[in-house]
Amino acid sequence: MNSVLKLENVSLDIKKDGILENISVEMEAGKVYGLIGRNGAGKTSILSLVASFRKPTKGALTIDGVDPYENEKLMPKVDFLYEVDYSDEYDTAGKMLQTAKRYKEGFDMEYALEVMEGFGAPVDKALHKMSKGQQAAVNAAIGLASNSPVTIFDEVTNGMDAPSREYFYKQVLAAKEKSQRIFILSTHIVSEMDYLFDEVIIVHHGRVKLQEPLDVLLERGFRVSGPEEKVAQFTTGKELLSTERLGPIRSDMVLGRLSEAELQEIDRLYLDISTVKLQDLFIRLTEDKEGVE
Amino acid sequence: MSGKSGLATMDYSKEFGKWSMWYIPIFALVYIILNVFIRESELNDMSFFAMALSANRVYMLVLGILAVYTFLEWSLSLGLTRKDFFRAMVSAGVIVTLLVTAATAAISFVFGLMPWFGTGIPEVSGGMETIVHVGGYMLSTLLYFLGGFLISVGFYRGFVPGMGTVVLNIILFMATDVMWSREGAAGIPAIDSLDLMSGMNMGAAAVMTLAVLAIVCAVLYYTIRDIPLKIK
Repeated sequence: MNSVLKLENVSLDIKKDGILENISVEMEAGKVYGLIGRNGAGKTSILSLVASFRKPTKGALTIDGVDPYENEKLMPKVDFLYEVDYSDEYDTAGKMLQTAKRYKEGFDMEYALEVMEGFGAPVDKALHKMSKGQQAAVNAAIGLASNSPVTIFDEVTNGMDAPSREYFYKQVLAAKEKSQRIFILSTHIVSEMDYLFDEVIIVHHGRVKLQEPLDVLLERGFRVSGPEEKVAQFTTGKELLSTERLGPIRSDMVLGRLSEAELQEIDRLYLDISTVKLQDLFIRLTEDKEGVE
Repeated sequence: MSGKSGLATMDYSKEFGKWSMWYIPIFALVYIILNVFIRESELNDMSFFAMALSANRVYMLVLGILAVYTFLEWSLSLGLTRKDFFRAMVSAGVIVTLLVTAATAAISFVFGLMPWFGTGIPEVSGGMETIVHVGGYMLSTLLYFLGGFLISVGFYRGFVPGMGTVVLNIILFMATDVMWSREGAAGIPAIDSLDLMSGMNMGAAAVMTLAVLAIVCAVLYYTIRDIPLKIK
């Protein structure tokens, strides 16, 4: 199944509050999408719409041209994993996996158990007795093993320690290679996960600020470093995202693409140039100050 | 019913069944204690089943109230539609009503073999009348479950819809009590004095109760079909 997930001019109002406005994004199978945004930007609301947890107030959401909302064939094809409070859950992780297997056609139990082992999480322990990280591992295992054409992980690594997070990232990449699925990863830990993303969607104040392939997005800006005066000379009149200083060295993050002439000038001034990090770009692009677009 | 609805019916029924394994023994214990410590002929003549018929309704009301908060998120996360959830929950309500009634009847039969406990159902002479009486109670037990389910859906949607469903339930419960009671169980003299049952045969009462059940199901489906799932 080569799924295409489309949101066209989607808006969501909850009571009288406008949560999402005019969201348009398109995702295709075989890619990992990073959905990033600040707290309250509307990430989980978008994901709730994709998972049919909510219905858009306006606009159209389709999977291969069909609205998945209350569609008994399409709803099981979307798997939405998010942080759940398991403090009252007396079932074991193994029972949870068995339940997922019963309801999800493509669920690979063997792989789920392998993933649980990889996380070092027990399958015979009641969920309420597990640590936050182990509970997160259960969610991750269910999502990875579901083989659902649309798999959403919303802050699913919360509570996991660094080795577990690293293991999860590897498994996402492995699962992506194994089958054509749309993975949507929503996270605050942008710096750790950016290498997983094929495309990045930045949400800000209930709107999609941009959707771009990661490499294209990273070309939106650059970092130039060198002696204070030379850097200042080069970046005068350019859109500065940030300035850092270390002794006589200054490093400016600039928004914009470099022209041939600018590259020659950088050579002439003996300045160092490097790409910006997604996290830096994300922070600057979602800062609420005038002039940053 | 789709395969998923069938699976969900089984799972909800199993979970409710587990809770019932707590409710029934606790209620049996209460019945035993009451019979040991209270010497009142009306109570001592009453069978466990007769006492359970009323208590089961309240128990099923509680199960209904827990339905949405316990199972909606779980169900939608597993890819079930709201329609599947509705169908499966109503089916589970029917199954659990039958199971709880059957379990209390079986325990009552065992108690009835002992000399310390009563065997009768007050105001019922036996035979066909008993069957109709029990049938009526089972229908109203199911109505209590669906009523609880409706309250659950109402409050999940918000405080005002929740209170609306509480008022609707009070009216429906009172109406069915009046229909099935000889002397009027409404407790309101003006309604009791109408003596509705005397002018209505059991069949008509059953048909009307089934109609009320159908109306509650329709209202339930209408309120569930677009219910937003709230997370975080």
